[in-house]
Amino acid sequence: MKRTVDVSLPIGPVHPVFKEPCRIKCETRGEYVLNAEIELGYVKKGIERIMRGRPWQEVMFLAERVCGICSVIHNMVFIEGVELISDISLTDRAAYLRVIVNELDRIQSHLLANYSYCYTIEHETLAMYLLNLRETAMDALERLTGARVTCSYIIPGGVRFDLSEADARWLQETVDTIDSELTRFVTMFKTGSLIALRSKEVGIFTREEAIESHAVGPTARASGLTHDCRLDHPTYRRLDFTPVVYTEGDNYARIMVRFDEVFQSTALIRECLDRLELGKIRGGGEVIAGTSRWAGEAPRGELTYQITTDEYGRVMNIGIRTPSIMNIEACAHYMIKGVLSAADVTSTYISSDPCIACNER
Amino acid sequence: MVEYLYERDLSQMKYIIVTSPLHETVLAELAEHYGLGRQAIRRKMIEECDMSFLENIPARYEVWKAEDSPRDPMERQLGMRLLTVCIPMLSPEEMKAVEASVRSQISEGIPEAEAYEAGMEAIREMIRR
Repeated sequence: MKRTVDVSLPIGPVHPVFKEPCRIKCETRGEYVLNAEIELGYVKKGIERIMRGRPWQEVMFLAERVCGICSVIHNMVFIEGVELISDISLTDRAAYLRVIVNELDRIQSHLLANYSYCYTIEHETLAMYLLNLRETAMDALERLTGARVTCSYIIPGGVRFDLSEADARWLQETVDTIDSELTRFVTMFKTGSLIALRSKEVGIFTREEAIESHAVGPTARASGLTHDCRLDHPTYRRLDFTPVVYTEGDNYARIMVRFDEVFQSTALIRECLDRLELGKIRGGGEVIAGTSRWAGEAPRGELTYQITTDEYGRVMNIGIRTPSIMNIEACAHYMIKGVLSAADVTSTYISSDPCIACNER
Repeated sequence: MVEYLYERDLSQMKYIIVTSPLHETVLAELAEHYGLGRQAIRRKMIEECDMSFLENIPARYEVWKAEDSPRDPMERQLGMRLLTVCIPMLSPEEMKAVEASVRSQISEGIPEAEAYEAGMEAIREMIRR
């Protein structure tokens, strides 16, 4: 049997800082990590095969079950792919409501990722503050969509529920709270000397490596790449949006990109609320036969759906490329390789915000 | 002295990864270009790449296609960077030997198409091996 790594330090599949099971196999010399690889396959779902042959109404629910952390974007990209095939148009109000819910999902996902990182580097106080703040975003998601995780909010031609005046005011206050609380926590992160010791110049990931491995999302933007699918999205293009980019490529930069993107998300939500005009939240249309390839910016980066439907609206073939596929590979072969301490393996891995559920779709 | 831990066989899980719809698209293109069966390419990928790498093959293939290098005729024909860096099925040394042989054939006056075909045959042999 082929061995690509001589394993001297196995981490996982069950480990206190891992949210999901995977095994990091490291080849070490003393504390120095010479090589690493990630073993997957503990929670493989085979969801692409389960989706095949089913009507879009069923696949829509399956799509958001690919990942429990960023379910909204899976729902959104699948539905937008179906809309692209069938030329179904969207009302303005529904388009802005989709962005609001998607950005709330991004806020909770980024806060969870940064919570995990702080927990991994043993800064549990800040970790718990962030996890508590995440609940504020989860409450907002629940109030808007009726569910915390698998919301099924986005449907072809619109969204499922409208936003009342009272809910809009409450949401405005909620994002204000998130902003003010997070400002305090980011200051704690920036000024923590022990945090800097564990994060700065650790797990370096260069721009060239990011291009080669097709890294996406905050992981790539922390290494100087500006790619963000929101730049190509019709609704985001109407909003004032510029990607957050850092150039250091270390753990610190990856966490800071996510913190800054939370502030950016709250600004986008405010802008959408300002632009929200009264109107319909659902259009009409019928799903027809065709093929589409559509990508959206998930909290972890570019999420692509390649969909083929038949004339009855059944999904005949579907390929899902989640951002964690690229980022986990980049993490194993570039970031972890060369870290000076075995203790930095877990923190570097968590800094790339790996989602095994997405990877093992 | 470090004691190495020997691992369980991951071939079955790896096979599930390389039969996903997006992998099938890449495999179809590679099989057509190199004139090989998909199963032979799958076997080589499973042997040479770890699981996270296998998952990332469709994205890496797209990176290669978007690069400037495929415009270079030899890279476009033989896929030297593709097979050693983007989807490392062959070692850089193996690929260098193929490249050197193709270049020497061209310099000896053998038509480019013939030299490339000889290079492709050598690559096919290495992948089948």
